[in-house]
Amino acid sequence: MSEQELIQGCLNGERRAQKALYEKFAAKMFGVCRRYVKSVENAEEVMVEAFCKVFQKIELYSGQGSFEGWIRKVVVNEALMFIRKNYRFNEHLDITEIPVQSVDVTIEDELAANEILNLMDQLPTGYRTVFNLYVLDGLKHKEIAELLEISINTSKSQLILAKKRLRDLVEQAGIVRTGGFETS
Amino acid sequence: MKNIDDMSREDDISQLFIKNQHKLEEMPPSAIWERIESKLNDSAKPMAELETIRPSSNWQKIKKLIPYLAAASVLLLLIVSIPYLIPGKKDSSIAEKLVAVEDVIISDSEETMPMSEAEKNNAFETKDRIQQEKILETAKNALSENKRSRKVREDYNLDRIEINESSEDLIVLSIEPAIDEDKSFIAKPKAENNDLFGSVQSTGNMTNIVNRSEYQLDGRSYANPPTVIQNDNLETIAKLNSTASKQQAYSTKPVMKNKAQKRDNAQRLEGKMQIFEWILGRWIDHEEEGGKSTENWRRINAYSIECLGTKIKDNNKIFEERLTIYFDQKLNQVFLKMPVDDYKKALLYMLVSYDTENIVFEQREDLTMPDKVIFQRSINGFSTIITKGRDNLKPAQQSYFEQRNRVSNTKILRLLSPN
Repeated sequence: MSEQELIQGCLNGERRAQKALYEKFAAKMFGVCRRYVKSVENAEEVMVEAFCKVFQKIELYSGQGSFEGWIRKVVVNEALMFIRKNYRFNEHLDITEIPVQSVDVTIEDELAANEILNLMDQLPTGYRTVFNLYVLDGLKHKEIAELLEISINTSKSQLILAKKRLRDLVEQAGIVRTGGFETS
Repeated sequence: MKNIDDMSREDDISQLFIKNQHKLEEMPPSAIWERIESKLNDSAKPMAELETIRPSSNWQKIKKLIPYLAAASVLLLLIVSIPYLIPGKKDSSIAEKLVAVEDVIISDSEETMPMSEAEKNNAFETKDRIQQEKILETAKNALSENKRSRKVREDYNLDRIEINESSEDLIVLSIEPAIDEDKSFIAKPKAENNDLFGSVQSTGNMTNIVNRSEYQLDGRSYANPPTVIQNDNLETIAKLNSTASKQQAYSTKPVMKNKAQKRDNAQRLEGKMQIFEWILGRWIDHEEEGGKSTENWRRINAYSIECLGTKIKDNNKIFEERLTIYFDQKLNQVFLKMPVDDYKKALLYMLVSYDTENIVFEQREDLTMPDKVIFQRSINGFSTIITKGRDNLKPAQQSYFEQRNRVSNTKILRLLSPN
């Protein structure tokens, strides 16, 4: 079935079309869920809620932009709602207070799935969320600030701290070959 | 050497994760689809049931009554036909009826003799006068039986009514006047009102708005007080019967409703308030830190609802606040009254927009206070989001809202699900 046919089938409430659509996008979206929430059980929970919403609100898809992008948005929103239930996004240090240093690092190009998850799981919730939204889902800081109800500066500082932490973790994990260290 | 720009996606760390994120793609267990399917089936069922139940709820009630109605009509027929079934009396009763009919025919024929104009006018006026007297007497009797109308009778001299012979209008009175009357009288509220939960609460700056649940007449409170006529020149009720004032008159016309309809009407919200039907009930914030936060929304009358929000920790109530949403008939607006600090200073937020997911209230009176309150519905319940457009929340405001909300510099949030 083509994507249009799938969408039309879902609009008509056909179970066959819904299942086909689920099977087409489930793997990718499960990966998205896994990035945002810490455990597999939580990721499954988010998946169930997100796809239910996709099928119930599919009429809201206007046809502009890719359908996969629309589903991804729903999944990310659902993940954020799940996170918000258990976590409060506080205002953090202003970005100007974070010391900036440049590091000469050569990073291996390959990371296994379990390594990615391991690194992500070690990040605090706020860092991980902002890192996901900015780096992997391509949102701007203004959009992140509105979504998480924080200031733009907080979003920026969270991102910097997330990358700093990841850099440390990557180095500790032996994935990085450090060529030297310089301060700015 | 590479300078890492931590504000971009081009740095090595970002590129590392971007290039490898596809490795996270993994088909979830098959149980996930089964759960989704089950949830979709569950959500489809109640909607279908609701659609069949709601539109046909009246028909269902009528259907249940049909056997009883049939039995009642058969019984009535039997009672009526008993005299005809008993032998011997039939002929005489029919004969009597024929005689009566003849009398009627004769008397009718007399009345159908042409009358002169003067006779016609006299007959009409007499009829009209008799009718007015009857109506007035009925009204007086009804008023005298009803205790709460005593004051109205005294105020408006109903005992000294004289029928103005020049009046041509019938007296039309209504016990529950229409909501959108133009000249309805609003009683001034008392300086301090006992709220519904027993504690004394100052009305603050609410002198223009009536707490209708507190409107008192003759020492008793009424949920829907009658509209009282504000007319210092009132002399007789007959004079009120001009077209403009018909809507304002106080009535004794009885409104008969069956119990079920009365019960349904007693639980409904009317007009714009109907958008809040879904919020009535008990809600709980399961994930709140430092205690259990609950909200209990209840209907006060058809045009107002009230919420008691509490925070309980170790079986002790550590925080309590009250919110009210009501429809102001004079201003034709819906307002949310909400405390915003430890002194329980209450602000009025006006309803500015609503749809199936979001209900938005705003205020511009006090720019130092939060300016927007949003009730946002979701699958699991609803969120209350309180925002401040300009500047940050003051520390006192933050500490107040933190008692049962998640708070940042500019936003306050609580998530509630059904209890």
